[in-house]
Parts: sequence; structure tokens; C-alpha cells
Amino acid sequence: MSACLSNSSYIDSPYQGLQSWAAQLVDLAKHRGVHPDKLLKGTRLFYQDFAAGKASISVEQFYRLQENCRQFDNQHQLSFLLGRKLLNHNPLYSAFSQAESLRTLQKLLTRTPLHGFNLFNAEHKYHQGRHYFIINLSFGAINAAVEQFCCELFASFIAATCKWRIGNNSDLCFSFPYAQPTHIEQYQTNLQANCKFSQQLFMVSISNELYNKHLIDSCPSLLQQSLATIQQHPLPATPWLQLVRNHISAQPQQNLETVAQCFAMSPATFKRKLKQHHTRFSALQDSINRQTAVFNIATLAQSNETLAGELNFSDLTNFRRAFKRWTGTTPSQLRELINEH
Amino acid sequence: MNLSFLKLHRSLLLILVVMLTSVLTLTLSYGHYKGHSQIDWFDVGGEGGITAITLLWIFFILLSRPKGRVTNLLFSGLAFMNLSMTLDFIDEFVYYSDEQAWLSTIESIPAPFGMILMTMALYHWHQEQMTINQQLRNRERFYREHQLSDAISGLASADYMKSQINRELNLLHHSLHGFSLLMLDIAQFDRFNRQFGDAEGNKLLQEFAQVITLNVREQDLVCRYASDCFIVMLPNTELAVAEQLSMSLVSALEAFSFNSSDKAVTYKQKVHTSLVAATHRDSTSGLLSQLHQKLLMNKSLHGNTA
Repeated sequence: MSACLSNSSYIDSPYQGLQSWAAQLVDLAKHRGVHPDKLLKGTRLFYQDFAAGKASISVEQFYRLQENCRQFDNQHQLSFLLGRKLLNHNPLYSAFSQAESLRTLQKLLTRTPLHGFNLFNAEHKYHQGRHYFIINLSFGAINAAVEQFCCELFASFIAATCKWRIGNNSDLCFSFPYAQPTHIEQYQTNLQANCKFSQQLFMVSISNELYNKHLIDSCPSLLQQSLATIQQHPLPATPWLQLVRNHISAQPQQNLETVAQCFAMSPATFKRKLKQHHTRFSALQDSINRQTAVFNIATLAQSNETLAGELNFSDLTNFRRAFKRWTGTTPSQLRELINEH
Repeated sequence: MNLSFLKLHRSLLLILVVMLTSVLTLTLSYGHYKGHSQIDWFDVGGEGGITAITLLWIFFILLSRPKGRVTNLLFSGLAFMNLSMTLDFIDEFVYYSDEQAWLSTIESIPAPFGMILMTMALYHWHQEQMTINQQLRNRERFYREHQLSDAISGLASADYMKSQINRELNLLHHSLHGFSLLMLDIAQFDRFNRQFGDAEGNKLLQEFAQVITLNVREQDLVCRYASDCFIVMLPNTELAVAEQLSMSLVSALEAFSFNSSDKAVTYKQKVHTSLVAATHRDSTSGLLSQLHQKLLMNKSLHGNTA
């Protein structure tokens, strides 16, 4: 239970490292003719604070900034442009340029998510020669527009990193949880990878061969040097919502009261905290089950019986009903949908 | 609001200030105050408003135009009109003794001159606009909406291109040949950006846009699709002709060398292209994804220089 009580951060706590992302976002928009004051409206941030290095930004404020970007950026390109620059001013940059394979990069990002990368966390799965990463927003999202912005941001980061380190994205495959947006041109030109929409989860996959491919311009001793620098930085506090998510997926049988107890809160406070993160206990449970169900059906091609067993359903009718609640479709409809693609 | 043009017009602003101060000193030194009860505040509001508004017009003209004959004509026309209005406005507060009565007689003289100058200015502005329209024809076709243009390259945006493709698809059964679409992509643009920075990258995109615009025909439309990717719409053009146009455009682009701002780097870039010809069965999104798939294929054929 001690993990539940460890140092954790909320959506509205000041978050070290987000400042450089926010500053770059504001400047990118400014170059495209959007006035910074318009962009910062409602975020309680001031443009001058960025230059002075005084801005301390919470995830919630960063999300509000994204919302404003969507409003003024009619080409929907800012998320993609920022995605290419996430490593700027990040201590991870030098390690990224020296690492010997994409595997090293991915491990590095998971273990030391410095300066903003804590916003995302990935669940790694392997199946028939491909690595799959189901990506979640560690702090949740405040609405669908922000969720889309975050997906675009991280997808663009992954695509840019792969292009930079292995020179070719044609093997990458992205799944997005939302329907194909009108600004599909940004996905085509910025990601240059296979993109599938309406997939119920945000996922990226890559072949084992490329994942482990030795990158030619890597240098092990320089990498060690950069790793030593990275270790001097304090690790960011784990997002509270991510801890809750992890706990629920590890202990799917526990109810709200038990989980609240684990996090040393009364059920009422626990509910209020979840509400602050724009979610509910049952919504979290459903989203965890949805991801497992969709992945196991779409990628592993599991049968209903196997999947129901894995998710601890004794009765198939109950399972189908629950599945419909999670995904909006029945298992067979989902299979048809995938075969169409 | 971008105030950079205002700096070009220091002399005109000076003329305006000198004119207004001399009028004010002249009238206020010769005139006598009418007295509070004599003033018609309704007139003061009306005439004061007109004077202020003409000043505002002058401000916007200077804000939005570079130096030149049309600007000078517009400025002097408005300035003369403003002179009349100011004299009229001050009349509301002061009266003149008989020796200085000429001051109120001349107040209506500048206005007609101003109007004649304004008329000349508008005529020349029309001529100027025709020239600009000619220069813009490959960027906008029939429609002008500044929100639909791309801030970096000044070309039309993807949304505008999509609406134009839609329009052409609807018109397809009327035209002899279908239209073709050409996609252009700068090779190694990511690397260029990493090496020289975003500002230089944006400059390269701008110059690239200009080279494309110079090398297409009158009826073609150029847009910046996204990132380093451009689309040229070739109306009434069959694939064979489009291929030739594409080849000449590529050779023009590859011959073009980019000079960085500090003149330290001269950079030549390679481009990748793809072409599709539209048929009756196509949809806008279908055409665009075909175009993009072909581009990716051509890229991998040419040794992965993405």
C-alpha cells in the first residue's frame, strides 16, 4: 500500500518542466500571427513570465493553453509542430541522440520521464513480431479537444524521433481513439506513418526488427555520460491519477471505498479528487477494461470466451453487455469493423 | 496590431502634426471665445466626430500601406479634408473680428481639393490593385478570404484547396479534360530545420512558395498543404501534360538555391513529387490520400531521403 501514498502530483499542482513546452507553444502560435494574450486568456499566465522564467505551470493550465490553441489555430498544426520540439531544453536530449536503439529510448522515457514526459505513460505489449504501446494521459484530459491535442502532440513526437534516429516512419502504425479529423493533412505530412482512426485507444506499434535495430551514430560512452547527468535531476512526482489507474488495473475487484482507503482518503474526498481530474471511478474502470478488450480482440484476435475469462466474467451474456457499455459496440461488430479496415 | 508600416511615414506624420498645430495656433490666437452659452453642443459633437474619424482614417491608411504615390495621394486628400473639418470644428468655439473674418471664409476651400485628390488616389489604387491581383492569381483563384491563407508562406491553406478540389469535382462533367493535382515535398526538411533553426526553415518555405508560384501557369492554384508539403492544382490538365509541368517545376525548384540570412550557407534542396488525375468517381479526401500514398512510395523509391 505504500506505493499509493508515495509522492504524487495532481492536475492542478505546479509541474516542473512544462514551462518550456508552454513557452514554445506560445511562440509557435505567435509566429503564425496569434497574439500571446489571446492564447493565454483564462490560463492565469502572462507572456512576460515565460521570458523571466518565472512561470510555474500546472497540467490543467497547460491543457487550457491547448484549448485556446485549438480555437485560434485554424490549420490545427500547433500540436504537431510542438511535438517535434518536445526534446528542446530537455536533459533527455543528449541521451536520445546517443542511444543505441529505439528500445533504449523507450526505456529511458519510461524510467526518467523528465520535464513534461510524465504527461504520458505507455503500456508495453508484444505480439507476433510487433511491439505495441498503449498510451494513456497520466493526468487524464479535461475534454475531447485536449485529448486529441495531446494524442497529436505525442504522436508527432514519436514520429519525429523515429525519423531522426532511424530515418523512416513507414513501419510505424498509429491508432487514434477518435474519428478521422478534417485536418488529416497534418497527420499525413507530419507523421508519415499508417494512421487508423476510431480505434477506441491511442496506440503505436513498431516491428521488433526496427525496435531493436542498432542505430549507427550511437556512442555508448557518451550515452553513459548523459545518463549520469540525467540521474542528477530529481524524478518528477508520479501523477496521482496514474497511480489510481495502476491500482485499479492491478486490483480490478476492489470497489471505490477500498481503493479510497488505499489512497488514505475518505470515499467523498476520493470522489472529489477524481472529479477534479475530470473523471469518475466507474469511467476509469471502464476505460481500463475497454483498452484490454479492444486490444485483445483487435490485435490478439482473441475469442469472446478467452477474453471473458481474462477479465473475470463467468457469464458470456454479462460480458457482452459490459463490452457494449465500454466500447459502444458488440464484440462481433468490432471484429467486422476491423476487418473492413 | 502590426505598427511596422507606421515607421515608414515619419515625414507624413510630421506634416500632419505641423498642419494641425499651425491651424490651432492661428485660429486660437486670432479668435475670441464665444462664451459657454453660445456653444451649440450638438454641432460640436457632430463636427468633432467627423474630424476625429478622418484622423482615424489617415492612421489606418498609413498603417496598412507602404510608401508610394497612392499613399501620398490618399494621405493628402484626407489631410485636406481634415483641415476643413478642423476649421469648422474650431468655429464652434470661437468667433473672429472683422479683420480676421477670412479665416471662416476659407474653411470650405481645402475640402473640395481633398476630395479631388482622394478621387485621383482611388483611381490609382484601382490600377495598383489590378497589378497585385495579377500577382496573386496563383494563390487565390476567384475568392479572397485572409483567414484561409497560410501565415508562413502566404499561400492558400489546405482548407481552401479542399474547397477548390470539391468545386472542380462538381464541375468535372462540364470540362473537356479532368484536373490534376501535384504534390511537392521538400526532402530532408526536418534535417534542415534541426541544422539551421525554425526561422530559416520558415524562410525556406516562403521562398519555395515563391518559386512554385513563379513557375506555374496562370490558371493553376498553389497551396501549402501542411508542414513542408505543397499542392498545385492544375485545372483542365490531363496527366501527360501534368507530368511535363511537374518535371519543369521540379527542375526549377532543384535549381533554386537558398541563401541563409547571414549569407553563410547556400542550400540546394531535392523535392519529391506525386501526381494524380481526378475522375468522376473520386472524392476530395480520396484524391488527397492517394496523392499522399504515392508521395510516400516515391520517397522510399528514392533511397529514403525523407
